Amino acid sequence: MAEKVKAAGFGKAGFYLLVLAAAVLIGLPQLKIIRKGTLNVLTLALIWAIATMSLNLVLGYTGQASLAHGAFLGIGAYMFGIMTHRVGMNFWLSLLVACLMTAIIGLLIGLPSLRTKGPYFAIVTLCFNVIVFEVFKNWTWLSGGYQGQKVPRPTFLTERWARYYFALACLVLVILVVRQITKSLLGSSFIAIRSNENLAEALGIKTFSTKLFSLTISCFIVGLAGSLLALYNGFVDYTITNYLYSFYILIYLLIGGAATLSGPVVGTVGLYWLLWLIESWVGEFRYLMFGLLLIVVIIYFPRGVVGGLKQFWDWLRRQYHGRVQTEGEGA
Amino acid sequence: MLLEVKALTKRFGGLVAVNKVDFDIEEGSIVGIIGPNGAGKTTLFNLISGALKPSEGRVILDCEDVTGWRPYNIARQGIARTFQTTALFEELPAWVNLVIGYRMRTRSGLWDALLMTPRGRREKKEASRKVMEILALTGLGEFADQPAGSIPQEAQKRLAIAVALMGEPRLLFLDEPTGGVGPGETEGIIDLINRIRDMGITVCVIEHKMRMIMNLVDKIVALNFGVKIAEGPPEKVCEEPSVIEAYLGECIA
Repeated sequence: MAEKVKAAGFGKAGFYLLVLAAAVLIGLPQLKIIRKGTLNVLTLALIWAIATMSLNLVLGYTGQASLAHGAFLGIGAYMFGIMTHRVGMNFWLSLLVACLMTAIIGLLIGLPSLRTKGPYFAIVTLCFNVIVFEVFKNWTWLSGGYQGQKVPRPTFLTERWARYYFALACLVLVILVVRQITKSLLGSSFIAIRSNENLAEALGIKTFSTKLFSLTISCFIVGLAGSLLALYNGFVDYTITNYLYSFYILIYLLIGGAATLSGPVVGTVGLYWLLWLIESWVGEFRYLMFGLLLIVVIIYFPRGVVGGLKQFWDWLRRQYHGRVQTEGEGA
Repeated sequence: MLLEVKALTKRFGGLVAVNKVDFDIEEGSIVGIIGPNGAGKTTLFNLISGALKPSEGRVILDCEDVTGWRPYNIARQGIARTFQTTALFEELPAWVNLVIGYRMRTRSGLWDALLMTPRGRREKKEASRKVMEILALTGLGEFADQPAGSIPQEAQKRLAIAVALMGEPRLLFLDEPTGGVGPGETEGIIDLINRIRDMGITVCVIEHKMRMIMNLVDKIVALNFGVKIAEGPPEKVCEEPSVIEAYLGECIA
């Protein structure tokens, strides 16, 4: 039923989906049929899912379309690389510092850019992303230019499956954090701003600082995704700050379902996997199909795959009210 | 006096939308603001609630000057308002709308969310108790789980008032609470306004329907072309020649 599609809550359908996904993701590496390449793709997909999750907080829940998440991802990756390799800091400490620095830069960028609204905010953040890209391209003392920056891996992450489980653990942690936030009173402020900013302000919600806070938390999380990406690759170069990544994350989010908890994971892992599968026989044309898929989803499932599934689930419950409800609880 | 408005003026370029309006609101009363279309009633509301900054004049709430404050600070100070075009968080269930209305009275932040601190849990409990209370007061229990945008127009009007009440205001501004509501349904809203006053909340209401407002309010402020043309008890105000002219002038001429 429509009333059960609670953007604020944590729908039953979504919960089952997550448990199912977790079980599959935990079990996968044990299977003999999984090739090394597949595990690599999955690990990357999980890392990108963290980035999508971060955009979900600021776009899906707070309604601010940031197109600078590619830049923040790159900043996080470089921070981590520089901290571990050049500064020689401890692994966990540099992970924390990388996330914190990304959050601080997000805060500084948010201060001027969040004064604009709607599409203007998207344009301002996109401009910021382009600037960051050019800066990292040209400041070779910072980015290492084409050679990039080496990122040493700690010993416990040398194995392929260890990296996979580390990314999975980080993703689960991020999902829990986002869930706690969106279910809390703080989350209700975020959702209020997305839904009707003027009304939220008239109801005593400090809209500007709340938006800024949301962006800062989001940048902290995307900084984690960037660090993991750097860690996975073993190096970073300036292309990681590319604004195309902002759009990829955005598309993953829209297809998966914004303002749902499982949407970003479903969208990212699903699409990443799909694009990898069809790469061998369609090559670069896959991005055309990417666009086509986006159009289909926007038209037929404006709330993404997960949003569409939730609606279908509620429609089913309405059709067989009472009878299915009891069966559904046990399922 | 709970609220004093002194020589409040708003200019939009050459147009003076509100021109040196003075009036005050006594604690525990219901005040009506009337006037023909374009008289500046909603602009006056926007000036008091902080949505617009006044060009001149003062707004004093309980001896504190709140002129030109940001809307959220004025709301926190105890002035709540509703909008002429019913403003709600339309895709969210009615009860979530109410929780958001209570948000400014809570202090939970990120750590309360992540660690489920005692304060976080206590404030959530308080919020849900308050939601139940306001749902019962406004009779919206049956719509609690439905998206605010999908409930009947009249219920949406009541919900907007309920959301404003969640913030525990001292003074409630209602911009045409019965606008767009069928004639048979206005009584419910009038009854609600009376009950809100009985709770000790001062109410200020913009209204077009003269007959409705006559029986409801203690005092009327009449505006025309941004100027206050009359102020006083309802029976006196509607005998004022300037008010009759403003409302009926075109017909007489």
